[in-house]
Amino acid sequence: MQNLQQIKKRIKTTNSIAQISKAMEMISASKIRKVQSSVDRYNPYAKKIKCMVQKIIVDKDLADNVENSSKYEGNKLVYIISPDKGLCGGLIVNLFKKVNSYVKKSDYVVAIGKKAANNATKYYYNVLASFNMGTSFPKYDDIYPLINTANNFYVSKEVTKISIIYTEFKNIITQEAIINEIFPIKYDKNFQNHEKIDYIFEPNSKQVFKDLLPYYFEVEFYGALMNAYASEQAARMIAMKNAKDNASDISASLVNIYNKSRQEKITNEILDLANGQQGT
Amino acid sequence: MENRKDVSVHGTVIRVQGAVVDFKFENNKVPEIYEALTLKMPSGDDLVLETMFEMDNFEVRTMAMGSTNGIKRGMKAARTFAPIMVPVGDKTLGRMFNVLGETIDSLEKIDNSVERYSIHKSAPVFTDQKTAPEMLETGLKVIDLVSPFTKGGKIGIFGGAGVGKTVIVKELIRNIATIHKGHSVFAGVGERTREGTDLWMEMIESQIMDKTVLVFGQMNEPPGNRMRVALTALTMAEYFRDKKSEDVLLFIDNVFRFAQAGSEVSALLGRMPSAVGYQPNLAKDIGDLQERITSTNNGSVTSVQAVYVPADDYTDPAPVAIFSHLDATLTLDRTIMEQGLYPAVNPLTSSSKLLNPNIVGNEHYNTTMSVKKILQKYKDLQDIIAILGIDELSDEDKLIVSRARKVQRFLTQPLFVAETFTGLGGRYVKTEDTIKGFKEIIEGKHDSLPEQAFYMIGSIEEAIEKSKK
Repeated sequence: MQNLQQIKKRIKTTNSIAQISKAMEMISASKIRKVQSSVDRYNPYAKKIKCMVQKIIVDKDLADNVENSSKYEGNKLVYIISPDKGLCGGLIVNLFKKVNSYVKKSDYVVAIGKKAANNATKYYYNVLASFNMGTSFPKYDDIYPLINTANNFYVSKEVTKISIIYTEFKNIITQEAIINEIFPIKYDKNFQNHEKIDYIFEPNSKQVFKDLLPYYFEVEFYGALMNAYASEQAARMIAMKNAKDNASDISASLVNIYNKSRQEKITNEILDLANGQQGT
Repeated sequence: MENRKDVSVHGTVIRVQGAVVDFKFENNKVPEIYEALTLKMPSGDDLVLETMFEMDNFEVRTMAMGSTNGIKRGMKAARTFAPIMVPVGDKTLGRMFNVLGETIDSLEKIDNSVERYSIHKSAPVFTDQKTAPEMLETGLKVIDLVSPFTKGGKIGIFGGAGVGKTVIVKELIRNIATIHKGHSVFAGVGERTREGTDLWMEMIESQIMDKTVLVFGQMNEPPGNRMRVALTALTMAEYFRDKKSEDVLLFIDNVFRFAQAGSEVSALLGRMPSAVGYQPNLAKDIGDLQERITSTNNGSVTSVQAVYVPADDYTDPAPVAIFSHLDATLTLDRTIMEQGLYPAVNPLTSSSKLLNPNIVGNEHYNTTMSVKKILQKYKDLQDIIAILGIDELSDEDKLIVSRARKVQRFLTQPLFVAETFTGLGGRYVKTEDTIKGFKEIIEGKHDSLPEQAFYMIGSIEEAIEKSKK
C-alpha cells in the first residue's frame, strides 16, 4: 500500500503535464495548418526558379564557371536551422546527427534557432552568427541578413561551399534532416530531362544569371526556413500528442493504484473493527 | 522451578480448538508458563504441549507441538516440570532436528546423555553484548556494495512471494558457510519441505554437513511447531556461542512464518487480534526471539534471516516489527525481478549500519553513495522518459541514464546455487573488485561498452571481455 497523499500528488502532476502537452499540441496543430498551405503554394514557385537556374547553367557560356567553381576545395559555410525550443521528439537529435557527420572543425557555421546555437557551441564549431528561429511563421525579410553573410564570406574567398542543414517537411508524420548544398550550383538530373530548348539570352546568359542568382538564394533560404518551421510544428504536434497520451495513461494507472490502496485501507480498518468487536 | 519430577501430576483435557488445548489440573498444581506437558496419543506417540496461559488456579491453555487429531476430552497429560528441552553440543552437528529436538534424519537417535537446554531463555544482558564493526564479505556484488554484512550482526532479506529470498540465503550459505571455520545452524521455519531436503543434500555434497545443524518446522506442520522451531535452532546456536565461545552462523528461512504462526493461534489463545489480524503481542514475540540473536563478549552469532513480506506490503506490521532489529537489510523488489535482474535486490531501499566511511573506508562509501545517487536520478527521470521519450533528455541526463542502466546490469550476478536456472557458472566477486567496477562505470570508463556486456557477470573485466565477443 503506497502513501495515498503521494499518489494523489503524482496524479495531479501527470494531469497537469497532460494538460500542458495538450495545449501545446493544439497550438502546433493550428500553426501547422497555415504553414502547410504556405508550403504548398511556395513549392511550385521554388520549383520554377530552380528549373530556370538549371536551364541557364547548361548554357555554354556558363558551363566553364559551373565546372570550375565545383572544383574549389576549401572550408564550407554551413547554415543550421533548428527550432528555438525542444519538446519536438527526435527532430533535434536527428538534425544534429546529420550535422556532426557533415560539419568539420574548420568550417564556418551560422546557427538559426537557439538549439542550433547551443549545440554548435557545444561541439566547438566556428559560429559566425546566430539567429533566433522565433515562434511565428518566418518572414521573407528574415533571410536578407543570412544571405549577406554568405555573400561576404564567399566573395572574400574564405569559403568555397555554402550549404543549409535543416529538416525537410515531408508530411505531418515524417520530417527528414537533409543537407542542401546550394552553392556552387550543381547540375541536377531532375531538371535535365526536359527537352532542350535553344533560348536566346538577352543581353547574354551571364547577365541573366547574375540577375537571377539573388532570387535563387532567396528561394532556397526561405524554403529551408519554411520547411524547418513546418517540421518543427509538425514534430512538436506529434511529440506532444504522444506525451499527452502517455501522461493520460500514467495518470489512469495511478488513479487505479490510488483507488486500490484507498479501498485496501478501508477494508483493513473495517476488518480491524470487526475483529475487535469479535474479541470483546 | 521446583524439582518435583518424581511427582506425577496429570491434567485433563477439557477443550480442544485446533492447535490449542485447555487442561484442568487439580489441587492448584497447574504447570508454569512455557512448561511442556506430554500426552499419550491413541496412536501411541507422545504429543508435547507447551503452556501458554494460566487461566485461573485450575485451568491452563496450551499449544500443541504436533497434530491434535484424536484428542478427546478427559485424556490425561503429564507435567514435565520443564520447558521443551533440546539437545545441544557436538552431538547435534551433522544432524537434522524438529522443533522438539528429535532427530528426523533417520540416523541413530540422540540418547539422554547429551546435554539439553531449554528453548526459552532470556536475552544476554546489556553489558554482555558486543558489537564489533567488521565487514563480512559475501562475494555477491550487490550485497557487498550497498548492504555490507557485519560479522556478528543480524541481516534481513525482505521480499514478497517468489522474488528469490531463499535463493539468496542458499547462496550465502554456500559462500559464507563453506569458508566459515566455525559451526552453522540452519532453521527452516514454515517454508517448503523440498527446500529443506535440497539444502540437506547440498550440504552433504559440499561436505559441510559435519559442522552444520539443521532444524526444520516446515509449512506442513502445526502453528505451534513453526512458532517454536526458530527458538530450537537458536538454542543450539547459543550453546556454541556461550559454552564454546565460537563464532556461529545462524540462517533462518523464514522468520516471518514465526510471526505468522503466532497470529494463527493468537485468537484461539483468547487474545484480541491487533492490526491486520496479528497477535497483540507481536512486537514482544519478535523481540524475544531477535534479542537473543546477538553477539556477546563470549562469541558471536551472525544471522541471516529471510523475511517474507505479505503482498509486497512493507508496511505490514510483521516485517515492520522485524525490520527494527536488524543491522543490515536487503529488500528484494518485484519490479526489478520483472526486468530480469537477478538477484532482485533494490539498492535504493537496502541499507546497512556498517555503511559508514569510518568502517568500510571512504572509497567504498563514496562508490555506494554515487551508485545510489545515479540510480535515484534515473528513477526520477523515468517519468519524463515515460511521458516525453528519451530524446527530450539533455545530453548529460542521457549519459546518466546509460550509466545507470549499466550499473543496474552490473548489479546482477550469476549465483552458484542457481546454475541450473541461469545456465551460467556462479561468480564470487571480491569486495575490492566490486567497488572498482562500479567506480569505473560511474566515472565513465566503460561508456563505450554496450549495456548487455554488464549483464550477469562477475568482475568488470568480464564486461570488457564479453563486449569483445
